[in-house]
Amino acid sequence: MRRPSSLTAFFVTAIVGFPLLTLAWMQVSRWTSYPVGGIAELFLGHAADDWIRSIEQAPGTFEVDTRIAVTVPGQKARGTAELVVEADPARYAYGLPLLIALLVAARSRHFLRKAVTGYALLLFPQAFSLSFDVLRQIVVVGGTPARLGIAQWQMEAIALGYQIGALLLPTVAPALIWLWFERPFFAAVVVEGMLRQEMKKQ
Amino acid sequence: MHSFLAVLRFGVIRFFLIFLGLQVLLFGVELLQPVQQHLVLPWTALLAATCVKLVTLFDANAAAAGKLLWNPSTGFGVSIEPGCNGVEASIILFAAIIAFPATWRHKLWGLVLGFVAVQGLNVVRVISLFYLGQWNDAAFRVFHEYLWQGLIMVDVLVVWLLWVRLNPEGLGRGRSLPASA
Repeated sequence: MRRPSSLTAFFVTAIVGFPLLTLAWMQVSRWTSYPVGGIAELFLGHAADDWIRSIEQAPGTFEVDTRIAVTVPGQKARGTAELVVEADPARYAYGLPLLIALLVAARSRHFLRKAVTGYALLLFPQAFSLSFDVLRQIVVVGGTPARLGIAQWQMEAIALGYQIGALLLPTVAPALIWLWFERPFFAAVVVEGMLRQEMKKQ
Repeated sequence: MHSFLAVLRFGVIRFFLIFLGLQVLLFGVELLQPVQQHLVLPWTALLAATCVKLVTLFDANAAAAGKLLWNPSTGFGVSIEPGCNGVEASIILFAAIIAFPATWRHKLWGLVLGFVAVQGLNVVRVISLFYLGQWNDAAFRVFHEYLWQGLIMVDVLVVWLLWVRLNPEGLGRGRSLPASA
């Protein structure tokens, strides 16, 4: 039976492993993050179909052609154009190397199964982050809520969604998935603590 | 041991729900204009000033202006924006500590020491980014966008696990280790 990692070994392995895995992930992130764009396209197509004309994606790029008219700076003929928003599907996807580093650090059993399942689960919060990145860009350039045809609270919800998607989800999602997968490791930490407390009392 | 794991499974689900609710709540509070104005921005300015004090111990070419840490001789500066001031990482840790069953006394010292641990590493992050940016733009981007974000999360996770291990009540009141375990 595999001996569970101690907390010190866990910490050191995660700290060393995460940068190495991130550097490796950066070489393949455009392909591993490709499905993120697909999920975001489905979400945006339903949630913001009034704004979005079409979405084109290729590995590493996510381009949204909108119906939002914007003035083109420098054009004398009062020209307007429609806003095109670009985003990188891998921008908020570094949770994958983080999850794998945590699984390695905890000497996880069924590593491959958990890594693959974790990858699939992470696609959804990553798509959330990507979608709200696009919506935030539209709102920033698009102007007032009235011009965009939304209420003030909807604009604020987009701002909150962007902040959650950019600042919290990319790191919290892999940590929660890891915690769920590694309940035995967590149990070992709790039990170790309880035994220490008991030994102190005696 | 089975009953212990059942308690644990129930406990983890309960923890997840409270943790996520608290996190959205605390994050929403953080984004309120008065909180930003009277708490987050002054904290960010204090963080920049602290970084300058530490940097000037070994390098005279550093200055702070509000949330900006910069080198007057080269003109390069880093602005400490949301996500870089350690507030969000602290919110994650606070939510995790409050959501976990423990005495309020244990939670209180976890909040205080955890905040110090997260902010301590964040000072290292800001100073390292200040020098990385002056050295190499590509390295700065990798560390800023990916590596430090994950490393701070590992710090939060380990601080929380250490705090859980030191919890005098294990999984909380009335959830002691079963005799058959």
